[in-house]
Amino acid sequence: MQSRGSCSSIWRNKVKRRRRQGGLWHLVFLLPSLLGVSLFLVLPFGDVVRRSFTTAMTGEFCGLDNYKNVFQNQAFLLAAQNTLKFVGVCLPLLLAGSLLIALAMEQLPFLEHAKVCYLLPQAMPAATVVLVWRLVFEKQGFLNGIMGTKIDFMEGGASFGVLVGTYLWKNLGYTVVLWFAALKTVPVEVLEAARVDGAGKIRCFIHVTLPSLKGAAYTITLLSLLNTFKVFREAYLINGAYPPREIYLLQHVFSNWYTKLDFDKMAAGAVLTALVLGTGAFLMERKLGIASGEQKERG
Amino acid sequence: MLFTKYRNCLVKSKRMLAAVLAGCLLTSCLAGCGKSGKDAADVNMEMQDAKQPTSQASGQEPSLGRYVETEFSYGEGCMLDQGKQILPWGDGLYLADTMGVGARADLTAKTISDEAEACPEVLRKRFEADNYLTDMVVAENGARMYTVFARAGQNEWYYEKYYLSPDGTETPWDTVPKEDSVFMYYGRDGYFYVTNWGSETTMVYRVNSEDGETEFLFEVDGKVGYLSRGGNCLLLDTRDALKIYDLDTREELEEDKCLSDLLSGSLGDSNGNISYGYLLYPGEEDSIYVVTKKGLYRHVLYGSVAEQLIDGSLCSLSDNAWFVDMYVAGAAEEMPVFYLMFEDWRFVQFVYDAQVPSVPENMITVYSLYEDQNIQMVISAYRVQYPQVYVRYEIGITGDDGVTREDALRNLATALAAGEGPDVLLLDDLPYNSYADKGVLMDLSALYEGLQGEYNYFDNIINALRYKDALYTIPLGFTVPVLIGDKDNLSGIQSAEDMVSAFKAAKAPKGGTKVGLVDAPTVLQSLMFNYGNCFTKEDGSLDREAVTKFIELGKQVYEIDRENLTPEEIAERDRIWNRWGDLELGSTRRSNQMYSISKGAESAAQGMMMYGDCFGIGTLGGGIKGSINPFLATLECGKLDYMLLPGEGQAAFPMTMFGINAASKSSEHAQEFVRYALGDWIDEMYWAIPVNRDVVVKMEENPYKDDKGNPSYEPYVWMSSSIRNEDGSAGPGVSIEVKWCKPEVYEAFNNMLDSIDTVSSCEYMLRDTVLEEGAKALTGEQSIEESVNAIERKLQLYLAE
Repeated sequence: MQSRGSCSSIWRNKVKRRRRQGGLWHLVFLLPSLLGVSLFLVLPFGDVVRRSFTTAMTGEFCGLDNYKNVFQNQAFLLAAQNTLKFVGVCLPLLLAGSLLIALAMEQLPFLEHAKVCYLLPQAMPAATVVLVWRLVFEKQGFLNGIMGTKIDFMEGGASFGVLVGTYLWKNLGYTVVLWFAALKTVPVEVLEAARVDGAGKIRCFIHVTLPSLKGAAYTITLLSLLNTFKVFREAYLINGAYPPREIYLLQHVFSNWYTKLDFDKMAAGAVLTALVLGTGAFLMERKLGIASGEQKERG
Repeated sequence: MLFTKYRNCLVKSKRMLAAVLAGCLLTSCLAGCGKSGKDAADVNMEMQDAKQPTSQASGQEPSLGRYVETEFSYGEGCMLDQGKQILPWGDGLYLADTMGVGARADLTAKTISDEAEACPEVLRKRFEADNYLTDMVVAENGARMYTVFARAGQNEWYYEKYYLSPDGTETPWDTVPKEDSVFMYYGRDGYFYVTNWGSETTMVYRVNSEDGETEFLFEVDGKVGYLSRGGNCLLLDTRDALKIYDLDTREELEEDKCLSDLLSGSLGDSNGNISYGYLLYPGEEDSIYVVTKKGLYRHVLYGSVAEQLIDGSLCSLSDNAWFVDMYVAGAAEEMPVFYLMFEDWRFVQFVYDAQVPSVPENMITVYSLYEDQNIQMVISAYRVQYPQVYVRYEIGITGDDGVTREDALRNLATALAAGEGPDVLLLDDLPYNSYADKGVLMDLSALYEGLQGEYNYFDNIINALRYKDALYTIPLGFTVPVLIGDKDNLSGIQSAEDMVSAFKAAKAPKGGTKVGLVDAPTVLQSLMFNYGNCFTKEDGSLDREAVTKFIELGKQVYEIDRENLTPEEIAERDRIWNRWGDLELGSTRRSNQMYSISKGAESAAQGMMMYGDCFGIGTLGGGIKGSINPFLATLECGKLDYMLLPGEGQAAFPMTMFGINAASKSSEHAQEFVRYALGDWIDEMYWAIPVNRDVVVKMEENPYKDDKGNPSYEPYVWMSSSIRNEDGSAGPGVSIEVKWCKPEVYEAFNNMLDSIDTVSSCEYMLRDTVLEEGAKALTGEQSIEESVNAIERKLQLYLAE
């Protein structure tokens, strides 16, 4: 450990020297991505922020009216609530489920060879998935046929379950692969040391494996969170612009506002959503990202 | 030392390489920052757009030269029966119709006049003997081929084909069996070409126009719907392909890829073998001229290109009218002159003018969510009057490309937000009040005031469209829902409740119904016009009470209507209505969703006469001559009366509703376009009564005169409708002599139009949801309360947004 620390200080000094020598070369390499992010993300978002303080088509300044309208809009509040609920249910299920499968894969090496299969759902076109889902979950679908019932799983409360299932089916394999890669980075010597010290499998997992996965957990959680927004495609294809109340998500309300030319409300809603997501990501980084940094430092 | 030098050199070259790669990455990123991908048509549009400002900005002259069109006018009393062919005749052109009675086009005066002497004696005799000529083709030398449908006895008819030599001798053409129908075409090479289709193949014959000698050419797989000669080849449209046969070797040649591409989507496009979606015309040597809605092209057979001579979007080629025939005149070295005959009897000349700009200097875009035949008519007329303004017509949902309503609205929203929205918006089926609130639409009050100085309008309808003290939309026309019945039955009806009581009290004959609507969706659709406006409260939430009342009314009407019918009779009515509805409304089904789902007043009245139904409900619209007068004549014939359908107000349904984009860059031209559209030039409208009162008054004038020049009230057309039973036997029928109605009939009609006090403006989502869930309550699939709950649940999110 000692030698690793000295190595890193030598490397840092080298980088500093290079910077002094190389001038602004590093900026040249950063420029394309910086420009891309500025052009396609920062500037448009700046425009969205501007629009959130103006009227939709005439562009007149209207103060905080749009935000007031959004907070009073029952559709937005319902969509925000549903989205939070969806994230709250899906994320833990996905992260825990995929980690368990990844651990099982580590124990059963033959499962590792099926990695490609895990990624298949990601490659499936949304329209195909929706078609299959319809065949399975509709009133006249296979599921009702097997159960002998006449429940429309695409409507009412059951539709939420179908959407959660869709999300898990689509993202589970991908997340398993990510966890599996992360598990490979857990230092074997530390695990062996723990075992030598008498720690059982569960203790090793809680005190060695899990802390080692903190850095990866941050990335995987963030990716999974972003993927929750991508399930809108399936929801839209199944139920259109106005799905059952239970699966009416923020993307539905934004999409419908756009169609109705409610750009003002849409801009305010987007700023609010960005604020919530940004805060969430920041807090998560503080909790997981920095922790993993500290861990490295300690290492 | 050497090693350090080498390492520095390597590092330097690595940096250079990295910098180059970073530059490449940056360039490729920025390469995507241009305009979004567009189809070829849009690219063309951009090229055209680009020409205009550049030339204007730089003060350069725009490029010159374009075909301009002139429509010929018909002389007094001259009317072709069913146009078929254009042929040269002296210094003019001969327009032949299927009956052999042609007309003459004067190329200098641009007029068409009767030319009865062109009709041979033998044909005159056939007309006198009440023979029907169902089709005819003529050669330049006067030879003809035609089919005759004539009476052989009391109940016997025969169908024969004849060849008429240039000297007027008639010979039966009996190469194919008598009862077989044929398609005849004159190849402009001295030969008639005749096709005779069997079940799977078509036989093609060639008949010499000089002596009538017939030779069998070849047998073609599939049914030939249209054919043309091109060079020494015969081009045959078998619906799925354009087959080309060599006339010398009589063998099928390979596909002409370029021509097939040009005609893709148009093949098999014919309207009863008389008019077509495209035309081919033999040109010089191996070239042919091709007319489609997209333009007129010259193509050398098996060449790789088709040269566009006329851009369809700049002239009336892109109209919705079918083509009948084309004629090309002029020497080979000059720009030819084109003559086109359309299904609606228009005869148009296209002459190349080297002095006009190749692309009109100004452009406006007109947008409608669904295809609108009336706006196509306006655009066509406007282009002729204002050739310097290019009108581009955009349709949100064409039905050909899988674009959904949401997609179309999103595309429109994107264009409007980007400041590139259409200049003129047709607001049918669009949330126009919401658009007005957001500042998308221009207030048309000043424009309307200006128009009122020139014309008289149905102010009651236009003012009913005012919103927040402004006028954001003016319709081109409107339809009115009417209730038809005996005068006595109608006399006491003042409200919807009275109407239901009258329905209850009426006694339907066996097999007849009380109202003739029969199926649940039709009942609700018919009543929707007068109730749709009340489904929401002022705060935008759903008015449960109003929706419940509407469904209750629908259920009452539905149950009363069917109480006298057996299930078999109900099924039979459904079958007939589905078929009739398709025939009657097929062409407008995509144009205006609300109107296209309702039943026409004319067919409602005819249905009453056929079955003895007590009442009829339908929408009244269309031109006076084509629709209103036949409707009124049907009522007279059946001793029936009509009134506005009672409900929540006396509603009309506005159609082709003009709105102008407040951010339009061509606002002046857009306003000019709307002003022109609302003028008095309209002769007939598709399924709507013009909002311009002067036009309606003009249409109501009796065009038929007696020998002394006084208005004639004799029958001018006989209409007959009959229903064929499912087993093929003759069912109920009705025959009506249509006379022009007396002024007092029109006075009553005008009074009815004046009593309209509101317009139906139910939003799409509301309307469709109420119709869908309401129909379930009518059929007993669910209770009224369950239906209203379902409507509320479905609309909650939409209304909350």
